[in-house]
Amino acid sequence: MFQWQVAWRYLTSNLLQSALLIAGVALGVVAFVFITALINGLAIVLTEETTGSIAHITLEPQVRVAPVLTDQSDYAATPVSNSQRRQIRDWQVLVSMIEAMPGVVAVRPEIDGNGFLVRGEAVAPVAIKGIEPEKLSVVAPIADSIVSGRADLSAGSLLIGTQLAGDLGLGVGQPVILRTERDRERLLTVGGIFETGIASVDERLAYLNLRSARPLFELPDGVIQLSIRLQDPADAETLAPALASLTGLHAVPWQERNRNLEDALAAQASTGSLIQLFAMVSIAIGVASALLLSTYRRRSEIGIMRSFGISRRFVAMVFVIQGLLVGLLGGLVGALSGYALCLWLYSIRQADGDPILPIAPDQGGYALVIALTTLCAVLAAVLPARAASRLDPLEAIQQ
Amino acid sequence: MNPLLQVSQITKSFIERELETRVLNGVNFSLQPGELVALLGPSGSGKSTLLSIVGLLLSPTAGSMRLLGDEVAQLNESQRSAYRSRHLGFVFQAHHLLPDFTARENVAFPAAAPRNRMTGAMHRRAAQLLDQVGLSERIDFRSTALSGGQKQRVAVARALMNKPQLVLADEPTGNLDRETGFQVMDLMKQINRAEGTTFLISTHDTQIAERCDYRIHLLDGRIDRVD
Ligand SMILES: Nc1ncnc2c1ncn2[C@@H]1O[C@H](COP(=O)(O)OP(=O)(O)OP(=O)(O)O)[C@@H](O)[C@H]1O
Ligand SMILES: [Mg+2]
Repeated sequence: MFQWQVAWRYLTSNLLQSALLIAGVALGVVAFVFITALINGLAIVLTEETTGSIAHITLEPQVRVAPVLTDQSDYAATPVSNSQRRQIRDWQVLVSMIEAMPGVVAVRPEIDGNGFLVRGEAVAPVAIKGIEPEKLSVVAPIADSIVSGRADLSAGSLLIGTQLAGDLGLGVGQPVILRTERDRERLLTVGGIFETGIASVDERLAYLNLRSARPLFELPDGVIQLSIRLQDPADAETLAPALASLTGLHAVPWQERNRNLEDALAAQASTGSLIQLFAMVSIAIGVASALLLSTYRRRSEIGIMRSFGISRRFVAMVFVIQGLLVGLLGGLVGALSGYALCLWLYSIRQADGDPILPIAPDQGGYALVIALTTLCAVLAAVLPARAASRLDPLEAIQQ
Repeated sequence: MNPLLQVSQITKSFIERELETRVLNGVNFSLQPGELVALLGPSGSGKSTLLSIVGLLLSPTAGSMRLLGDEVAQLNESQRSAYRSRHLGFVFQAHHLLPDFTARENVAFPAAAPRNRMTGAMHRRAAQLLDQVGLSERIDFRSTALSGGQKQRVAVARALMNKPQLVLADEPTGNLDRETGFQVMDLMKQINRAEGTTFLISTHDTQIAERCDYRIHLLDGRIDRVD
């Protein structure tokens, strides 16, 4: 295509000027890539922080309301009174079934309940998780968070957080009475104290052996819920409905309980969009002004072309194509430089080994930025292209 | 024989700051195919204006004009543009070569642009035209690397690229020294004789005008005489 050859010749005729223009565009692209990788990296870190120590899907018994008794008898389920205890009875079958599913890392049956820890005069509310000892750390890395004692969940042993231990003045090996919501009591021993850094956990949560929890919560064979960990937490929202229909239980993906995270991520994303928009506008202004200058410099050439009867369209296209080439080259150079910058920033580590910036170098929106930059540059070239194509050949020649 | 160009009662006025100046005031003449004609007249007599009107670069205020049998005075911009591309060639006082292109590319440009591609045939024709104007050794030179006379010869070759019926040359020798000017003039005459291309050449130089078949003298917006 001859238009492309002419546009290319024009761009390469003044290499320094074109290089500066492309560098300017590339700089805007670098800013775009940096902010995109940073916002995405932040989202990843925040999501990881949130999903790192919680169940990705929780399976709970359905809230069952006794149906109104009618003469219709086509209910699949036997009507059950809501005064019945909510529990999962056939959990052993479900655990092995769900653990065999692809994408599922672990399933932990839990007896969850509330109670009070009593030590002499001091009383503190506590949320109890009764679990199998070997599954202590499958949801949150509790074993790694033990600061004193051991991650020991043998019968009669209790693991509590540092805050709770401090509140009650408890140390490892000391006895404490647990009184549950079912009004049962038992004397337990503090086996270990953990510190997760999450205040609500360190202040309220205690782990207990599943078997020890049974009499305390009056559940001889059922459990209250199943906590599921997935390979990819992002799958929770698609897997939850499948699990619900498979088990007949109520499946809650983690996102449902962490809507504030979504709001925070959305707010960050819109800040990012604003900066991305500014980057694109500055690219467009740069391209438009450079090409406008070029049409002015070349007006006698354009005039002579027009006098030969070369169409306005041809002249316009030569400038639009220059815009396209500048956008594409600037986009490519900028994307590569942006990637290099992100990699470099990612490689700078703090003392604890984490990067100084939570940047995600492979999430810089590279294809998007190249496409957007090319589009912006083409649109920015329309104004100069129109100016060039409307030049009066006679006026241009008589200069 | 049907005239190639027939100009009847052409007038042209420019309005500047509400002041109307009539530059052409009823111009009539015709050109036969194959003629080599000089357009003479004092500075400001309207030679460039007349050539621009004939070249469809400027619309007359009034009058009619037939080119190759078509009435062309009232064509719209894109029709005039297409007409220029197909039937007309231009040589101006300044060469207006494209500085980023070689001599050959400059010559081929008027053919390549409308078809949006540069073909081997165009390259060959451009080389042949450059040979014809005596620049066979300079075909792949950048146009900026040529002398004034060489550039003007490239401009002549370029005007001929699309095999126009009529070439309009506005003081083509005006920027050249006398000797070089004569060479360019002789070149146009040679092409006129060989190809039968019609030339209308404005000039101040009577010796250039002498080399033409006849001369049209413009004075006060009218044709004063033809000799
Ligand atoms: N665009 C225009 N606007 C106003 N006046 C114009 C315009 N173009 C030409 N004129 C006027 O028309 C007259 C004729 O100009 P033109 O350029 O045709 O003369 P010319 O014979 O070519 O002169 P020269 O020999 O100096 O080139 C001049 O008086 C000029 O001022
Ligand atoms: Mg003139």
